[in-house]
Amino acid sequence: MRVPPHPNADVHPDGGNIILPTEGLSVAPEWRLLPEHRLPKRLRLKGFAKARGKDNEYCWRMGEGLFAKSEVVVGLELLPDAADEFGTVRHGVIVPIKKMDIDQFQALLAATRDQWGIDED
Amino acid sequence: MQAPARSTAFEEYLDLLIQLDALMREGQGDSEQADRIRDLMDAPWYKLTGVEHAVISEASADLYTIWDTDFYPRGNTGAFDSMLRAEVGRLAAEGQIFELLDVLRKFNKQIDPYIVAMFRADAYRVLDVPTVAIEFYSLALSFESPANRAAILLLEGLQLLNREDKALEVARKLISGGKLSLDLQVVLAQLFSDFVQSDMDAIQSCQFAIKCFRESKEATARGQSKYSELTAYLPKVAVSVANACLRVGDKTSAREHSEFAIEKGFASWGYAVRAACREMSEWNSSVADLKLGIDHGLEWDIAFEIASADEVEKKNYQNAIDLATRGLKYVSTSAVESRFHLTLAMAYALGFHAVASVQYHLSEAARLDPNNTTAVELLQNVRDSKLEFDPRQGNWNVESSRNRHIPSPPFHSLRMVPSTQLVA
Repeated sequence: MRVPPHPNADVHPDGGNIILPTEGLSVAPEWRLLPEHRLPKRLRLKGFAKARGKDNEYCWRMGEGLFAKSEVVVGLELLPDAADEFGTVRHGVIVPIKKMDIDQFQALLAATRDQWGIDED
Repeated sequence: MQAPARSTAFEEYLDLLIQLDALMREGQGDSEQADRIRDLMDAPWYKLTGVEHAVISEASADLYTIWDTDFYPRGNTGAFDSMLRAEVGRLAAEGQIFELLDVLRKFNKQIDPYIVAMFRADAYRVLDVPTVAIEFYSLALSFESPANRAAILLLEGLQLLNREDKALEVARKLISGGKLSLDLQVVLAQLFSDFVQSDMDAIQSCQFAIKCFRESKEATARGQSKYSELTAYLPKVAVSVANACLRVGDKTSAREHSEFAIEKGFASWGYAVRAACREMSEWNSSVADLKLGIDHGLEWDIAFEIASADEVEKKNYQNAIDLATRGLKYVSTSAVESRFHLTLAMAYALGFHAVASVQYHLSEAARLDPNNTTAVELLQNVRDSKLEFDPRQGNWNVESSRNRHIPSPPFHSLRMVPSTQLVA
């Protein structure tokens, strides 16, 4: 997750370092729906001809649940975007359930690390 | 297949994709610059529609085929077995563009590289993605020389994308490269004619355009059926060439080409250019040409303006009103609009349609300066009076205006109209 002063930050904390429960970490229902410029280009070998990301990055997966608005872990919630014209939801955001200090938010995200696994199949 | 309109996010993402592809082509895909581009790609990506995602995905995959020949080895010249040819032909004919692009990638090595590049280029043209189409027309051009169709479509795409400098660069390479087909020469004639406006070598460009045009014209005149499609296109190019000649001061050639355009059916602009070729001493003939152009469907505000002013001078007020009213549909600048309104005001006044004349004067004043409350109020007063004109009588409708209060200031100008026209 990119934080200020990154020019394309994903979150924009206020002067008190607090972020709103609408911004957070971008996620997708599955790796094939991630932005193509983020998918490691080695995935071309698996038939994903459009991948243009860096090979030193990986697609991670967490959990088995539906990609629907729900609590992910205590304090964090998944907010999916609306579906496109084909009914496909491509993107969602893991956000704090309530206004939260950004350090606390990042700590909550980091605490989920043990539940992540590489998923590129 | 009707290509849908593309969003700003699509254009933004595509532009960044092309930049990223260029970096990856140079082996800079893991550089900081590439990372910065990827960061910028996130925001537009999430704004794409489902169709736009599909088109971008195809483009992203296909751009690799231009340079990543390890991943997409190229086929031999002439390769394209009959079954594959039939399948590709079917998908193209049925407009199944996404399936076609998929098959082309899968069988990249089994198809002549020129053919596969042309199919891809045409596919992106159909998908209304000229930025990607021109990449493949350029590639096709690199495989076969002279590849006239690829060259024509590449030049067309570059002009569509307002990349005239690049188009000229390609054109000059083609010229230095050898024999050009006549249809390509026609396209070059048009390109060089249009570019004469800004090219440092305007006269040379114009002469080249004339040369290309003449050769194409002579070939079609000889009835070479191969070039029959050019017959319809040539008159339009003739107007472009005539315009180019005018810009470099060659009125004789300009007139010759405008007369060819008139003779071959592109009379509207043909007459307009011929009018512009005439000397000041031939003013009446110029105006007559403009009127002929208008009669042939010319949609040019200046022509209507000159023609309507001429009709006022000849006291044909109704003609002047008709021409000025029609000309208002094609107005290109505020100044021309002003002149139309003033011509209309004049024509109505001289034709004894006093209130209409006043209305045009006032509405023009109000248009030019909406903060001029006097003009706006006076105009409203005139409109509120609901005075109406009967064009058949050439007079206003007294019944509707009788007993209405007519404020005095706006009608000072009516003193120029005989009082019998004001009161029945």
